[in-house]
Amino acid sequence: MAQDDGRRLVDASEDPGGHLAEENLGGDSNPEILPHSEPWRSIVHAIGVVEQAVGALLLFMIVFLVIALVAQRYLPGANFPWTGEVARLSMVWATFVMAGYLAARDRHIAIHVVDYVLGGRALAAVKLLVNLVVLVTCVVLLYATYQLIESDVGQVTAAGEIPLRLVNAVPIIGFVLTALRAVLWIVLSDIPELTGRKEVAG
Amino acid sequence: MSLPLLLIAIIALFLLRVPMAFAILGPSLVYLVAEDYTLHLAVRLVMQGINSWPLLAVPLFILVGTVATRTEIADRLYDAALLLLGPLRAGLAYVNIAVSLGFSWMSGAALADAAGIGSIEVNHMRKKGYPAEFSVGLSASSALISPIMPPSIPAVVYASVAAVSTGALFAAAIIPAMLMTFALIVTVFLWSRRRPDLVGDPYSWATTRRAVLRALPPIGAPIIILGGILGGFFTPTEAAGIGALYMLLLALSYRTMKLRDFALIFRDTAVITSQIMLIIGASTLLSWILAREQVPQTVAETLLGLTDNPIVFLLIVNVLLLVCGMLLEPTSALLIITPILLPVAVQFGVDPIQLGSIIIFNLMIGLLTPPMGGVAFVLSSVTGIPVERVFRGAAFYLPAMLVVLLLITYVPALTLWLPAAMGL
Repeated sequence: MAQDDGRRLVDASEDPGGHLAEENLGGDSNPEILPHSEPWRSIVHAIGVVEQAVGALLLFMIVFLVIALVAQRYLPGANFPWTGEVARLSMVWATFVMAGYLAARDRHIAIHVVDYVLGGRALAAVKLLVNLVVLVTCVVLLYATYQLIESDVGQVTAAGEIPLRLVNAVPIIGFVLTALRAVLWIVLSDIPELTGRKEVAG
Repeated sequence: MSLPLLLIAIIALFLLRVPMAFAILGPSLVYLVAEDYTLHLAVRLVMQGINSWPLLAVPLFILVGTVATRTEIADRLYDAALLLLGPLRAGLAYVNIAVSLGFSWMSGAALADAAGIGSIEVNHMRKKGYPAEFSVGLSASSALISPIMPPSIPAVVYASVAAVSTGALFAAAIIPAMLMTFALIVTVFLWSRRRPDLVGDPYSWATTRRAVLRALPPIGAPIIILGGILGGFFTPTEAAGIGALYMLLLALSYRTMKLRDFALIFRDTAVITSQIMLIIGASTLLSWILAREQVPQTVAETLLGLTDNPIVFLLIVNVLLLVCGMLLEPTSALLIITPILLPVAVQFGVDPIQLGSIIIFNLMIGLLTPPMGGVAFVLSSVTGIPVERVFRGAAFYLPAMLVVLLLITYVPALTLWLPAAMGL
């Protein structure tokens, strides 16, 4: 299993096509999967930056809201019953918003034993299968989320009165962006590795 | 779709390096379709699994650990331990344990400990002539103190699933974590008797005092967190929030952090939160399927049919959990196994708090063993030592861990005395 490691990642020297960009915002060892032709490269990279910024902001909100909740108990006058609810929803949203970022850098928690057992094309075939599973699962989940939103009859959350339709729509962002990264891995990394072609369309 | 087929599909996808969350979600969605359920049930259950007040403590405790790793707090702890314990024979090994113990009060995840301070510890030990396998094995084993000692992320997850007090579970974990520390110290002591060449560094009181004073402020975080919870001032989630605020203010006071560093701390916390929460959400769906298939009842009947002796039952539970720990990621294992084992354990008279300690301890041992061995893989990555050698190194400390496991399994007072004494 690997959470933060980048044992079998393609480094810059192994990436003549340049579709794997180095981490832009810190010390992550895993490079980001990016198309190598503009403007798509910049667009996908910008999506990654926005994902990180929104994830960080939601985490900041969680801290702020939980502290505000404690303050309400000890400070007279202040009473915002929605703080706990919005903090919980922020955690749910952060989870889905960051799902695509994790996929872009192969940082979802997974057992990486095959990386040590298989080599070359066999490993590429396994990675192709992995990304196909992720892609299909995301597509089905997208449909399931659409069903969930459609089944809503105008309900709102208990304290903050946030429309459930909005709450339930956020996972769509995560599933779409994860599916996008799965497609990029398949097209830019898995298939070229299997066919022996290094130059791929971006 | 039959249940065995579902479980086989999930395990096969695990082994094929499909991300855990998707390895659970994919076959579970197929199950829902095959059983004529509407698919939106899956999304609703996943979101319900994540949308939990007790679980909100998880990102906050991760934040506390991330601040400790990203700032000079870990270095300060290391310097203080080095000056205090370095003069002993095999002193660096004791430093390794002491730093992990200190770090464990701020971090609730073994992987954070291994990734954060593992490479510093192992590289320093190797430079001083310690065998690579001994050093990396010790770092891997001592990293397990973090998820056992409060604030423990697995404890928060267990408390949420088993509907028990997080504070009581935290209190229950203190003695097992200290026992584990002691077991590692004894192992190092016995080993070092055959290594007279590993002499310590010279001792200087003035330098040591300065280093210890520099390491004191971070200790405020566990005092706030545990004192707040055990004193009844805060819920665990609130205590985690206040602890995170304290650590952020501490990092700010060091004046070595820029705004960008703070953004990265929050980004890193969001990354780890998403990694864990996606698995929690997916495992909630799988738990629902297992409950629908009456797996807890079947397991209970099977175990009750095998034995009516609590001692034998606990032995079976330990073996099962060790195997699960080897094959599953701890968070998903906790979420899947707890609803299955808890009812039958209660029938055997096992307290849910003690069961929580037993489950967590077993699953953490799985972080050191193949094929999953998350801590071993992370340490291999940060030190460059092949993972097979990390596994061999960790195996040296496994007997000590298993002795502690047997103690907490068969001496309930080790886990239940402290919560009772604190009125939790």
